[in-house]
Amino acid sequence: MAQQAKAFLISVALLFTGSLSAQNASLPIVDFSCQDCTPAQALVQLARQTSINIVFSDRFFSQCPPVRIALQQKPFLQVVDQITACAKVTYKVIDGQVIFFRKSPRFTFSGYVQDLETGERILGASIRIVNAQGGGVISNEFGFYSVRLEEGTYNILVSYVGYRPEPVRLVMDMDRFVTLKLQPSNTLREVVILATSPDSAALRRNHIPLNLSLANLKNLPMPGGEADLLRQAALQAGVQTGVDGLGGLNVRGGNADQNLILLDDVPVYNPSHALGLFSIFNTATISSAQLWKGDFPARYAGRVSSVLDVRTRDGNFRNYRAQVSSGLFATSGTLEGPIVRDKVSVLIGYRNTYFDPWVRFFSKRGNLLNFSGDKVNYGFYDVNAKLTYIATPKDRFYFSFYRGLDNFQNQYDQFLRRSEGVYTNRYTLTSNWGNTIAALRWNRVIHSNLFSNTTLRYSRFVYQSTLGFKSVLLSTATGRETTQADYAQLYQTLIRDVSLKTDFTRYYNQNLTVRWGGAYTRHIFQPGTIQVNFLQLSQSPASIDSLSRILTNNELLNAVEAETYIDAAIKPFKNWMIEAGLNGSAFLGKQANYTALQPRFRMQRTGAKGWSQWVGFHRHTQYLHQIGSFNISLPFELWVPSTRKVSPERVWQSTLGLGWRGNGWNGQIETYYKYFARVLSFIPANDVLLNGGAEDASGWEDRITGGTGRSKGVEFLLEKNSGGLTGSIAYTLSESSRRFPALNSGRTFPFRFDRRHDLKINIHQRLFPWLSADAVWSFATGNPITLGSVKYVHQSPGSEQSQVVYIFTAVNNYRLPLYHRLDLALNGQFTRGRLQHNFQLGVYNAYNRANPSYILLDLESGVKGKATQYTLLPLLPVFRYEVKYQF
Amino acid sequence: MLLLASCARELQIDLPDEPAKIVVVSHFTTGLPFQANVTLSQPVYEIGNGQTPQNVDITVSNGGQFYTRLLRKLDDRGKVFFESNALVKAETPYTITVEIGGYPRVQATSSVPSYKGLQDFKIVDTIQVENLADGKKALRIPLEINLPGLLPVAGRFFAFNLRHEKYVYEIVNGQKEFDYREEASTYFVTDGRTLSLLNNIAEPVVLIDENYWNDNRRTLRLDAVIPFNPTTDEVKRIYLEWRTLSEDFYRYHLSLARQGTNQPLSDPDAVFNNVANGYGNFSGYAVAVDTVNIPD
Repeated sequence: MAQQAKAFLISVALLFTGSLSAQNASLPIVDFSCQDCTPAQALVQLARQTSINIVFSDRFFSQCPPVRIALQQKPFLQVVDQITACAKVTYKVIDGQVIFFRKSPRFTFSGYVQDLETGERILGASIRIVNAQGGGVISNEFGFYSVRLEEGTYNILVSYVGYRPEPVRLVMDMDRFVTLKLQPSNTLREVVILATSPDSAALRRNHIPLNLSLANLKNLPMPGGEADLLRQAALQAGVQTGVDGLGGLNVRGGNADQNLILLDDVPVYNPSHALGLFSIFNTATISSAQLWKGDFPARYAGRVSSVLDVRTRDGNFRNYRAQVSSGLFATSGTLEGPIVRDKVSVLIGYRNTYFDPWVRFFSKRGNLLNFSGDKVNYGFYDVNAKLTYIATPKDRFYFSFYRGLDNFQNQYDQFLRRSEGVYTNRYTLTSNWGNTIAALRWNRVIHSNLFSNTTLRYSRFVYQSTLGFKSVLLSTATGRETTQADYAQLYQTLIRDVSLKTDFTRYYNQNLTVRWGGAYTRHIFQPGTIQVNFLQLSQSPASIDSLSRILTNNELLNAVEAETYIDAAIKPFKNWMIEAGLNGSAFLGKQANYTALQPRFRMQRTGAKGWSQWVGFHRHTQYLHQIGSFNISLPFELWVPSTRKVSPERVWQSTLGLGWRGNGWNGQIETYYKYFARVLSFIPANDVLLNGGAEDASGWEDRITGGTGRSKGVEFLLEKNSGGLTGSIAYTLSESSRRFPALNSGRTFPFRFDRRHDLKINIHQRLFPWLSADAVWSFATGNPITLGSVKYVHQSPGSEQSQVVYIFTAVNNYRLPLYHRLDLALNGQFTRGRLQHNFQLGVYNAYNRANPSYILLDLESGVKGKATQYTLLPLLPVFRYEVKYQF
Repeated sequence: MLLLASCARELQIDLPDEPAKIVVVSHFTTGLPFQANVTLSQPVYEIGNGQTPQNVDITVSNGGQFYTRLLRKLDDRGKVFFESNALVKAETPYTITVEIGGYPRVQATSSVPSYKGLQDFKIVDTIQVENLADGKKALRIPLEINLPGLLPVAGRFFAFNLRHEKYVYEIVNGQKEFDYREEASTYFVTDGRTLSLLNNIAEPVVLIDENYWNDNRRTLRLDAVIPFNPTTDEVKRIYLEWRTLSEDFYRYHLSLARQGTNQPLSDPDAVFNNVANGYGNFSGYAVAVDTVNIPD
């Protein structure tokens, strides 16, 4: 791999060197002398002497004194430079002629792009210089832009999908800081944020990152009508989830914990509710979401597979606005408005679920609750808040906050009649888990071409469960109640980060933008504390043994992570773009220090007629790991740091792509090869305490095993972005495997989420101006699982102990049946006065495909192949009604 | 929670037909005869356990030369097993061959590893007496098992077993009179890390994960917990059986121990198998026994 990268860089260097040398190769070496002549006279003399045309105006040198030159055997252009050194001119060699131009003064045109009505900044807007060849810039993630222009008059076109393109006439005779305002093209602009406009597409010239369109997101049919960002991400080529979203995102063969998921620049450790059925992102509060599938720039680090960068909206700076959205599973509300008009805005979002009836319904439908009088409750809530303060035109402060919590409760009573009386046994389980995230940010325009962003970040994820068992005997003889057993277990796992991050962006010119910065993070981990209170009156030797299962793992682990990076976006030639960067990081953990250099390189060439090609090499390092019995990113799995025994995960990835854009179509083919130089797997303890989701974390360092992995694939994407019928087809052909010396007898086995074929088709048809229809069809090879087909009994001669041994000929040796599902929805919208109504009506899993989440073989039936399959989401209605009101 | 939120239904899986193969289970140690159980593998869905087939021929060779044959015998419970007349020698590679008409011949090779002796086995602190809820008491005895300083870098494969001896008295006219001697397995408690690296296996020993020794540890610290009746019982001593395992023994039983953790959605591990053309395990171990006496 390293050899390949080296060869590639050398060939690129040779290519550039060759093109430059060829330009000047025909110019001669000359002897030249001229005493007290003006530069114009000297140039004329040089032209006559060499028979090379030199084109210039006398006025260029009118302020220059006479020159005295006597040069021998010097390159032609060196002589030219010496003659004209006194003047503010530049020249180009074109077709053997030297053509002079006046060197105009350059000024910086910078500022923000914002929504005219709300005052919110627009990120990703295109600022195109109409009378400059292909010039322009895209506003950054805070709506800031900066471009260097020569003195003169320019026609600028500012555009963004969902807004009227805004022509601006600009006289550049000084640095200008301008807030460009865009008028929404219609009142439904919220549903079209961040789709890619033709103008910005031309400017972007880049196929990364993937901008997840919030317009499409709200139209997609999803369970209960709950628009979900992670489900939308999973519709992209190369992105997969477990069945029905269970277990998080798997990007190009990566584990779910290898995705860096950011909410306002703060890492999110558990991005899902309900084990992955819903994401934590309340779409009403989101401004943008960008996905990098591995080829992410150096400013992102800490994970090895992908980045999902989600930004929340600022809130309306002009008017108060409220929105309520209600679906089958959840209701959300958003309120936003100016605290001080055009100065301070606030945005508050809240989402709550009413999931309990559904849990009960499906539980009983599947005969999974066998207890009478049982109580099962599940729900979650999210709170988002954001405060934005415009201190000066060049200073903005933001405070954003998120808190989400899942709660699961299960309680049932069991009554046993015995000769001594009636026993009442009560079993209870309560689990809570959730993230708390906060960010205090300061944006400053230090100089017209230098932008800074400084953020103080806080992120905390906690999982807690309490498990209880109480047995009370109502004595037949005495009529009195006595407690026979009382057991309570508290389990907790947490990770908490506090960090400071600062970034600078300098826009040198249209061909060079440099970002640099650094971050310092302090992590605290508590991987799986268990506290047990135990009382049993009739204690026996057997229950003494159970005492040995009482664990306390109350160690708090500290770690420090520091990183610095530099990213450069360079346009060395017309139609060429190089994004190169380097991230250097250090991790100081438990008796271990690690450092890593992570080079990032991507080069793209955009040719005529919308074609483009690109190639990339990236190296990633990950210091934090999520471990557990399931290895699929469930909330009770533990986040742990790298230690002396657990070294960081490392991944190399290379990509090669071909793309085409034009006439409202976008197509691309991208191949990738990903080498997991080190990847981890967790070996559960002999007796896993699964009750209450408690993961026995004792000795976790010694139960982690390291291995390698490979993932390769080809991704095809075809999108239609304009007209009444829009949509996309995303297909991935891939293979992903793992190899651990300590697992599967050291042999390679398929990755848990290895899917050879993965196809997603998404169609959006506008039926009327107020009504559209959406369909999503997903098809994929079944996930691999491990099933045994043969058994025997292990028993040594004379021994009373025996064990039934199931022969797994190999890990992940069997594939679940094909996964496929069709989702349909009608989306409507209409406005009455100040009220804007949106609704969605449809069906998820329209033909009720029973896609198995997992399979358990029936080992007692005597019937070959008899098994029980568990399906998470059958046919479900989709319904959402949304109303917005502007005060 | 996953179970609560899901729908279950029956499914028919096209499991591959795997022909029955010979299963041989034989662990051996120096100075004792070879013993083996031989059965046939079964499809997973078949009810009941495999029986010992007829016409089994088992031989053990050493360096390609015939060494001994295992003969069919019955144990105390009438269960068939096979045993050799010749005894096992230390650090000698043996190959077992099992033949049954109609099945592929199976072979496996292993040896008794060189013994890595205990340095000492001792009580390291004060013995505590704990009260149990039913009026009984329990001795909590802090034990330490120390290994010699020079352990190999790789292949630190050990297992152990604790048993205790107890004298039980009868109270006759207010006087204690010896009734009988009792020997039983000893329960123990320990810290979480240690416990998580110990594996119960289907042999009368506890398997120690080799990662336990990663910190250059040489000491295994346990608290033996022995319930007793203070009126009638006297705990006399604790026996430690310490085994040095061959890698074949260790890998096989570690993979069996991990089978116990197979949960829906989790990754089970493949069973280690050193029997060519069949299943099971043929592996050696070295063994030593030490004792600590419990003070009165």
